[in-house]
Amino acid sequence: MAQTNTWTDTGIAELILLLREELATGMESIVALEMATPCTAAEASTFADPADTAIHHTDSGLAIQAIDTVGGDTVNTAGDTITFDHVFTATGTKNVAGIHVCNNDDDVTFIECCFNAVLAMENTDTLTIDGQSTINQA
Amino acid sequence: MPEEVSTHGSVTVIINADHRNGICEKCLVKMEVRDVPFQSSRLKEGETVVTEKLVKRPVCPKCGGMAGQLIAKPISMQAPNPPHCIHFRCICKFIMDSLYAVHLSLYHKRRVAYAEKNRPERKTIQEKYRTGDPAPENLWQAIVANFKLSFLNN
Repeated sequence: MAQTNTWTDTGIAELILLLREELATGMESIVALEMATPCTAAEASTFADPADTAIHHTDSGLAIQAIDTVGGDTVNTAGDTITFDHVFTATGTKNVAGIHVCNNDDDVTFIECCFNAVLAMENTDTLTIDGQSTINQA
Repeated sequence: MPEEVSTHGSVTVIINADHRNGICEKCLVKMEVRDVPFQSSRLKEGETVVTEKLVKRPVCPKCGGMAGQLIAKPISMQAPNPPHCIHFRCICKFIMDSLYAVHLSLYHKRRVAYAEKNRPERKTIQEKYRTGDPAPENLWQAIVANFKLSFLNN
């Protein structure tokens, strides 16, 4: 299976809450997913229940943390893209199957990404994430 | 009925990752994890708000560089565009593009698994398997590359 990335249903619901100026928070956090085999990103995944049998890492530099950089960009129409960059530094030996990009309350996953293959992280390894999402009217 | 049809808008996500080890790519020295000053930025109300913070990063004690040797780069692939007309050539093109996408995604899956199994400090492998560049450019190249990787992974 190829690398899979998707907006989750709960992420879209949070986005709509933001548009309605109701209680919601923007893209702020990121966490690595732990699983021994590659996962497949699913729209139905949630913060509490990631893809397949994946779980959130809770230590070793891969736990939930503030995204290094969140910015904007233009792909088709002005300001149609959000960009996010982050570097994880592992402090132990762990498998990383993917990532969750979450809100500032750390309770909603906007985007789920499952890599092509499981990344075998070791102490002092880095995992650099360079992501973008575009609302495309084309 | 128009000959060409437009497709629906969508929300696309592209995520590229880069997995590196803790050995300086220039000096080949074991790096040390240190607290490094970092400027975290956010776009708020049209302006970039920068916050200073300390982040843990591996640093080369010799040159001060923060880039380790590349292990593997998983990459995002876009699905082929849907056919825009009902002509035979449009349908054939879509079928060929889909077959190519399937084989190319299998290639990237296999090459990342192969690169992860053979970290640079343990084994030297062809750089294209770590970076994914150059990737097979057509269906035939993708099939051959997958055939090679299936042997290398065993």
